[in-house]
Amino acid sequence: MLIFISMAEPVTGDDNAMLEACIAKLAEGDVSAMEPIYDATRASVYAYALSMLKSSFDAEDVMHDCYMKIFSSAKGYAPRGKPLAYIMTVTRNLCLDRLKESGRTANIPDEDWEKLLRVEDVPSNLEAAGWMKILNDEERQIVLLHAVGGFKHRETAQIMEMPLATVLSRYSRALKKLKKHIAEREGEI
Amino acid sequence: MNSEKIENGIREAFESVTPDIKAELIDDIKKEKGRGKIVKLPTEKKNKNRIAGRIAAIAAALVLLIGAAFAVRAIVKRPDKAAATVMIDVNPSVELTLDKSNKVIAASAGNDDGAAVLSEMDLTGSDVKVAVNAVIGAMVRRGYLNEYANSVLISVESGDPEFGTRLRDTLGVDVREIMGENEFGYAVLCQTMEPGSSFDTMAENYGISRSKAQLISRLVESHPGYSFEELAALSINELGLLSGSNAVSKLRTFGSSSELAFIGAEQALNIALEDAGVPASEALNIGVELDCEHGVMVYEVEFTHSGLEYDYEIDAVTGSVIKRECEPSDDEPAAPGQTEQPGDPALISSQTALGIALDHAGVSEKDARDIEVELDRGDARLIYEVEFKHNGTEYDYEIDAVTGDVLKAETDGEDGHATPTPKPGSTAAPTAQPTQKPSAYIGKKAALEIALNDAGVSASQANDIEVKLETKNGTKVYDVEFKAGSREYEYVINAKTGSIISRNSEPVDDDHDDPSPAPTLISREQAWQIALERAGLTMSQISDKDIELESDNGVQYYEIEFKCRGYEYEIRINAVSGAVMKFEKELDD
Repeated sequence: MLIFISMAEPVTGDDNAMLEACIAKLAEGDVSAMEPIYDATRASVYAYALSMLKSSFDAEDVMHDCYMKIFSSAKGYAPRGKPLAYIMTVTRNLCLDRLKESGRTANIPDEDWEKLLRVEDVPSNLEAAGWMKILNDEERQIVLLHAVGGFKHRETAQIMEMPLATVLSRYSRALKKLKKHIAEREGEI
Repeated sequence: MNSEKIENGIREAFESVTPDIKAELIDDIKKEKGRGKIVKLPTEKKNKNRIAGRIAAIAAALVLLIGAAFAVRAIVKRPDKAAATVMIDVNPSVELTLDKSNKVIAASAGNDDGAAVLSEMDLTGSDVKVAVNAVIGAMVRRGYLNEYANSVLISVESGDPEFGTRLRDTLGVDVREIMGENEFGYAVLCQTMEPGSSFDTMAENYGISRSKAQLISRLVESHPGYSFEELAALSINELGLLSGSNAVSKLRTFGSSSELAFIGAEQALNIALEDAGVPASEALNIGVELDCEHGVMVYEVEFTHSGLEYDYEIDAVTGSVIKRECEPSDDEPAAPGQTEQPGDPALISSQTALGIALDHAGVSEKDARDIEVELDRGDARLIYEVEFKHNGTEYDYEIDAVTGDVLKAETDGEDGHATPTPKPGSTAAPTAQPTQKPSAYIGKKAALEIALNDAGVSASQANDIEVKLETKNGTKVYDVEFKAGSREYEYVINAKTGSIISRNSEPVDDDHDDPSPAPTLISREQAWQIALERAGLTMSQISDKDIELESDNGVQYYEIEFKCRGYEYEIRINAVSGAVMKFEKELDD
């Protein structure tokens, strides 16, 4: 299994300009422009899809559909300087479609984060899997959009269609929970 | 550890598991582009699955193969590389053996009808969805599936349970979609086969498929009144109808089975009303349910009218009256308070007590946290102690467990001072939840609680609970059965007084103990869909809608209530299987 460990920093404003240029090239039919889009966003797209669907199989499918959709609707894309948020919104909508279609609620009890983060193959993910478990769905998605996607809370609020205040309070509650959890674990040792 | 480190850790973890699909993606995009122009991908069907694109081509190839006779009558030994077996039962029974990539490596027929269906096609090498599509298409063409029999049973067997469950779920959605194209509606029943089950012999003895045998045993399990033998004679459609009336474990159902071959609930009710000489507008507490009695499909019809309780069984096909019972319902409904005798009180449920406390506090259940409800013996009477928190305030209630009266209401702010909340102006007990109807009987919940109390078993310890209202020697009783620990309990409780008539307990035979994994719940939307389908109504026709996810002794269900055209509906949907556990339609007055 190929494990990709390049440490891409979260996407920045520069990336936004780059992404927008790439989408414009895609619209002209330049398939190679998909590569930089994919490279810059694949982890964010997958993480967000995984947090919504809790199935690596479905998340991979959505990831694929997401880029196909970006390609197919590149011509209609209106540049507003926020291509990354656009990509995440596409991801979210595809996930919601899928949840609706399979009739599953997002509240799958006791999702197995050790499996989703493939702790067996990547033992160092054990800690992160433990963190994912103590967060609820919303908290997890907000934290992931911030940590993996590099989104500002304002952008997260937009993507998740939530008031900014809610995002802020959920985020700080989530980090409080995580820090408390980590302190307790350290205390045990 | 600071926030930044935590976030870095999370990012690394997710990056390490992100699959690399770049090559495949670029390839697919090039193909898409190769079609001449950038095609929008809007139709759901295309977007749904990555394999969907390939399906059209395979389906076209299949058409060419139609006519090539290929019926395997004998039981095929499963090849070593088989990853799963999919069984499709209507009446024709077809078994598809799949490899790991969900390609069909063998197709066999379980009966003559199945052989006829398979004679049209060679499915080897095709994707399972295409194969299932072809098989179901042939079943429709040959008339096995029609408006009178619209039910398909899909069963998946796999050595890898997770793979099996996933395949069951994806196939369920696929088949629903395929069946949705027919005009006659559909019911798709999905199950996974238990490994090492004994259904082979059952199947052989009764000349039915293994998958049907398993469905029947589960129905018998969920409804001990049924026998395997009587159900073995039924069609998948009839079994689908029965599983709609009973909560069947581990069965997931989409849609609802056709009732067109039968006279219908409305007609059955009319027949019973006419037989009883009761005008439709005057009957109350109406309940109609499809059931099977001694191998005959019947409608069980219940209603009350001017102090009498009627109980009918109507033949579901001919409409003839098979059984009629009529007895006085209690003319002196036990007034709250009078029943308050130590030992056998008619208690309200803990949920009702909580509801009363929340109502009183003006807090909705979803906003309340740290809810605790405990049945306690107060000064000479039973009380529920209810505690919960809301917005930093602690609420502490005592609710009379018989009358539902609020005996104590205290709030405790963050300052730690208890403040008694004044009781509401009227001393009348808050009206009980709408699920409780004025009835002369103590109710199933109360009967269960009495039995549990007597057995010294808490509600959370008990499982396989069944409470039935029955008539024994002319007395209405609740037959309460449950298991706890390694024992099986059976109680008979007087339905009016709540006194225990008999109790019995014995060690349980622990043969089929299966700790099932946490189940996936169906969505609220789906629950609505099932409920409305059952009622034969659409969302736009109904009003006063309400849906709650509730849990009773480990069974999670949606309680759905709504009104339509002067009737009040109460429908209970199993949140795991989607089965209709209860269907009530009453005149709204």
